[in-house]
Amino acid sequence: MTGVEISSTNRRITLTERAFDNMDWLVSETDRSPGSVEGTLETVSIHRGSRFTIYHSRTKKAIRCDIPQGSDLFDHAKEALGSRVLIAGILHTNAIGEPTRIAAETLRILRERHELPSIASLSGKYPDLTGDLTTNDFIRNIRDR
Amino acid sequence: MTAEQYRYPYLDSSVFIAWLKGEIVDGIDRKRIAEHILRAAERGVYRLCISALTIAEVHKKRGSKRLTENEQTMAIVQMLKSMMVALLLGG
Repeated sequence: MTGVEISSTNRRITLTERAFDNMDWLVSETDRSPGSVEGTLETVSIHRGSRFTIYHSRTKKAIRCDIPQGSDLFDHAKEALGSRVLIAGILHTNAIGEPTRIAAETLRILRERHELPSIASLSGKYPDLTGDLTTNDFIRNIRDR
Repeated sequence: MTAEQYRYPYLDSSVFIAWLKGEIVDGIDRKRIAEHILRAAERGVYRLCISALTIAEVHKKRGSKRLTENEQTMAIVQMLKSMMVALLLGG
């Protein structure tokens, strides 16, 4: 057998073993670390354990957020439905570094993007940000501490 | 020869600080350059990569032991995090 053929009325695709290998590589989790992920909370579920789903701000892909037993995160998630949120916890990522799921520890509701300052409004807004130091000296000071 | 387009630029704290200060050094308008890079990222031309430490460095008020917590600096942090970014945990 060289592969599996899938066809519809106007299209036919053969999935080879290599395609399965590539899919395995892409969807399998390769890394797990403390981290956070930002997106819009669109689904809350109690089917086989409490969880919610956010849609990543950048990739627009779904990220499953598992809620530990006994946590009050579920109530927070219900309140945050439809909002932009930042979820922190143990983040699982795939082979290309995209988050696939997170064991959620905290949930923070963020302002909507249109409520955030624009790039233009912040340009040059803080001329005294580094006081009498140059930017280089300011950064050197912080890093040398 | 045309310069090659950035694909996945890493921005150090100095870029953000120059942008917020409106810095011009030796006749070079760093604010304008930073703004150009940030706007392109906002349009989705490329993803930016910044360190979590950069957020702390830009957020930290000079001379203070703690990070500042006023509304405006929180807004800056949120904006940095929302518009871009692949966030690295290391430096």
